[in-house]
Amino acid sequence: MLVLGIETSTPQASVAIGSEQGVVASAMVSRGANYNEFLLPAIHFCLEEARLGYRNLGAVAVSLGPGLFSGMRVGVATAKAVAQTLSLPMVGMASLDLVAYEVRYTAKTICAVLDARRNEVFHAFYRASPGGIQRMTEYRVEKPGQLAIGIASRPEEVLLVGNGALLYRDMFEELGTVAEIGTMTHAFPDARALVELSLPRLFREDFDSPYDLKPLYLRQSARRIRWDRIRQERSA
Amino acid sequence: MSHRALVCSTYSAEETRIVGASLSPVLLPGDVISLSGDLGAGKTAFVQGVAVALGAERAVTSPTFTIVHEYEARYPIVHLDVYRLNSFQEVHDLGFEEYLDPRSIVLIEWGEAIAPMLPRRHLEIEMRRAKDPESDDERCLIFRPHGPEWIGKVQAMRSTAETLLNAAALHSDGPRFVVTPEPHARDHRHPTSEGEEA
Repeated sequence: MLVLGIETSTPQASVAIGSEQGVVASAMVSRGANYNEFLLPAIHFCLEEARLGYRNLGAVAVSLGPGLFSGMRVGVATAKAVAQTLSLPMVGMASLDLVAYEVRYTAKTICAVLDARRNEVFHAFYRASPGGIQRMTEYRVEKPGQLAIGIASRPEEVLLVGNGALLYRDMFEELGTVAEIGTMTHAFPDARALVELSLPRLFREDFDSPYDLKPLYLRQSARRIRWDRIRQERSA
Repeated sequence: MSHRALVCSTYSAEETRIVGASLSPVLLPGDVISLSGDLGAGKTAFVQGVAVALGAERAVTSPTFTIVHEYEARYPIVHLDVYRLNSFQEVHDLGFEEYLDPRSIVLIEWGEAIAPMLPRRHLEIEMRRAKDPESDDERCLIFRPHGPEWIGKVQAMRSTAETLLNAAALHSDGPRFVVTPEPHARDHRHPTSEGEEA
C-alpha cells in the first residue's frame, strides 16, 4: 500500500511517499517557502518523480504536532482534502513520536523535545520496545528549565532529541552525563518516519476519521477576557 | 513604580497617521505594540501611519472581523485584533505565540485585554476621544512604555512627530505633548506566569 505522509509541524516541512517496501520519494524544506506554497508542489514532485499518480495512493498519514500552528493547519487541511477527494483512509500521528522513533536504537530513555517558541518546549518520554517505541508520558508544553529538572530527577540516562533539545542544550548539558543531546540529523520530525510508523496502523485498519482529526494544541488556558471590566475601566 | 506616560493630542485622522509614522523609524523586529480605544478612536489610522512609513504597499484595514492581517514592509508587520475573542484559549488557538515572531513588528488592537500574554517589554497606546463633543476629530493618544528601551523610543517619536506636524502646518494652538506621571495607572504587572518571557 502506498502511503502519502505529510509533516509540517516544525520549521522543517516534509512530504514522503512509501510502502512497506520503503520510501519511494520524499521532499523536504526548512526555510524560505510558506508551507502552503511548498506542500502541494512537493506532493506533485514526489508523485511525478516516482512515476505515480494520485490514483496510486492507498492512504494518507499526517503529523498532528504538537508544533507550530501555521504549519499544522496547512498540513492537516491538505491531508484531509487529499484523503477525502480520493476516498482514502487516514491516520494521524504525533510529531514527538516521529522524532523519538528515529532514535529508537538506544537503551537509554528517549525524550523528544521540540521548540514551542516563547521559551517553551513540547516534550514526551519514550523507551524502545520490540519493533518500535513506547510513550511513557503525556505530551506536554513546559519551560525548558522545568523539563531539565524533570530529567535530573530521573534515575536513568536520557537521550534528548529534537530542535528543542539543541536550542536549550546548555540548560540540559548542565545535567552532565545523565543527558545526551541528539544531533541535527534527528532534530525534526520527518515524513519518511511518518510513513513507516503509519503502516502498522494502516494494516490493522486502525484509521482516524477525517472529521475527528485535528492538530494537537497543548497550550491551555481557562481564563476569560474580562471585557466587562475593561469597558468599566475605560468609561471611568 | 509609576508609569511616565506621554499624552499626545491629534486633531484629525491624518495627524494620528503622522504620529504613527513618527514612531516607525525607531521600530525594530520583535517590537510589540498594544493599541486600545473604542471604535473610531484611531487605532487603524495609527497602524496605517506606521505601515506606510515602513513601506507597506497594501492598504491597512481594520482587522476587527478578520482578526489578523499581515503586511510586507521593511520588516513584516502583523496587525492583530483580539476584540472579537472571549478567552485566552482562543488567543492560543490563533497561534498567538507564533505571531510574536522576533522578525516581525506586532501591533495588537486591545492587547491590554490579554496583558499577561504580552511580552513584558512593549508599548501600550491608549486612544480616547476628546471629552468635548464639539471637537469630534480630536483624539488623545496616551503612550505608556513598558521597558526601558520604549521610554527612549517614545521620546524619539515625540520629536519626530513635532517636526512633522509643524511641517504639515496642521493645527497649531495649544500644547500637543504632555508628560504625566500616572501613579494611578492600571497595574500591568503580570498576575500569572502565563506567557512570560524568560
